[in-house]
Amino acid sequence: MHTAEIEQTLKTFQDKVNAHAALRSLLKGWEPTIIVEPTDSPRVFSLPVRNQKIDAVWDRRHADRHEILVRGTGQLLNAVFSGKTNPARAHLDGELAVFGTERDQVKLDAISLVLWGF
Amino acid sequence: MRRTGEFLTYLSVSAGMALAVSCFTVFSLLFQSATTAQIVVALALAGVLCLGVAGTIAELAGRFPSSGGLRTYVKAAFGDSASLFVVYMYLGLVLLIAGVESYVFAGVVAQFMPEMPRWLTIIVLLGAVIMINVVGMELPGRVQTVLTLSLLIGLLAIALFALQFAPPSLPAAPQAERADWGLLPQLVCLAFFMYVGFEWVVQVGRDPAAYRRMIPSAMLVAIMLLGVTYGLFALALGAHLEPAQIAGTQTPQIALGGQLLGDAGRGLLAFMSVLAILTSFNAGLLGATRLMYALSREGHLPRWCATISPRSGAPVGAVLTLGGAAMVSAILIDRYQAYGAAAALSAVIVCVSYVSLLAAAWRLKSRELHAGGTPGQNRIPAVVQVMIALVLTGVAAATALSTPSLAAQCAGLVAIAGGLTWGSLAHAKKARCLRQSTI
Repeated sequence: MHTAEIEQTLKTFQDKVNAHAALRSLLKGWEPTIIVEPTDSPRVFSLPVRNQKIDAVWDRRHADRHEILVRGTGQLLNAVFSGKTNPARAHLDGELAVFGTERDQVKLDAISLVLWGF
Repeated sequence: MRRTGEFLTYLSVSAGMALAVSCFTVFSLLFQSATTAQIVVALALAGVLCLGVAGTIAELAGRFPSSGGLRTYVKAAFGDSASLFVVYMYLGLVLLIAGVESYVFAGVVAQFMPEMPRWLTIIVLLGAVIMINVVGMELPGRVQTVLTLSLLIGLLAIALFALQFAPPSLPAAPQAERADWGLLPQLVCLAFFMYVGFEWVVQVGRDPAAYRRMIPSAMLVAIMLLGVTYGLFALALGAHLEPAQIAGTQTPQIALGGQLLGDAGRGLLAFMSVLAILTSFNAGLLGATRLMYALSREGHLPRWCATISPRSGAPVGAVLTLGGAAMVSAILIDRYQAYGAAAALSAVIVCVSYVSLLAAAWRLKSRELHAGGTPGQNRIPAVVQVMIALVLTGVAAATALSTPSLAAQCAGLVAIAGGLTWGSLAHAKKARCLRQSTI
């Protein structure tokens, strides 16, 4: 899995989230930086959530007081952020690790539920 | 300094989740049939076995950091059906503990407001917990740490104070000939109930590194601290109160406080009971609602269990379902005065859950070794895990079969968990078929 592919997937994810009106209320008052870390690549991506939007997709780790770390193989992360894999199932299968508070984990999962309906 | 703070947070989650207000009621149950010496031995044995379980959980958490805990571990080792069965048993445990906790809390309130009906206290308590969770309020980590450490230090101080001023007329350790050591398995099983919850810390790791050393160490220190606190508290109770006095109340801590310092002591111990419920009850219920939410997202529970509040991100569907079920459980326990049976049943489920974790770790390790792998970090010897699993199985079986009614309740619980597992798998299969046909 090329990391360029993940980067493209994350940018598409950003566009979908920012274009979805129903996600605005979900993102209100919630401003973490989502760190996406493929376990089979040295590259790391940061997605800062600001003003009810994903502000950017940075190809580096952006330190923030409020972080959520999402880890998995590049292939899995690509499938999760493109809506091909149910993140809750991948998490319970032990393939996708999400480090953050329980509230953060549910919010992140809820984004995929709203976007893809499963 | 930052790492010390992080360690104290994990320690407080691990110890705070275990140190619930119902633990004091378990002292009453233990004193119904055992001497102080037997109780201390049972607490120590349960603590030692818990250390083995904690080592195993650390091993599994290191393998699957920040995962779905019990659901993930058993699923990886034994597949979906076995995992769902154990998870439903565990959710049953949460409901029983919520019921016992509310019942005991109502008992504490009744000490100071005897005119207030117990059912009303239960409804007010659980109603408040449901509201807090629907709104999405959470106890900040630092507050949780301060509350738990205050509770532990306070209990230790009270126990030591009580032992220092123990009256000479009551022996600190009763006569050995009164002890019926044949009851030890049941005592150990009940003592297990007092440690349950230490494992919840594996859900709150801040980063992958925490799962290597800090969380395993926090669990071990928490169990040792709890063992010492419970042991000293049992000695303090035995030194100041007659066994019949302790066995005759669901709030022996209040009786001890009254004996030591009069009304001020009763007030102090009531305050500590509130601290105990604050550090465990809400967080435990909250964790269980997250598990229900995840099961719903997997397709194993109805979709409305995965309904969330857009504003707070709280899983309101799971909160209302589990909170409502906890309320029913608490009112039934109060109506039929079934706290003893509920605690014993909970203790059996705890043993079953821990045996499944030990078996999962052993299975995964065997699979890895057969595949030519080598044991990694935090691995404890398989032979130790098998031995602990055998002891726990014996303890659970001895307790479950100790009375015909408890045996029937255990059989009922197994049937319910089995039925829910079958129903969930059928529900998930139907949902998958529907989704595929839609695509």
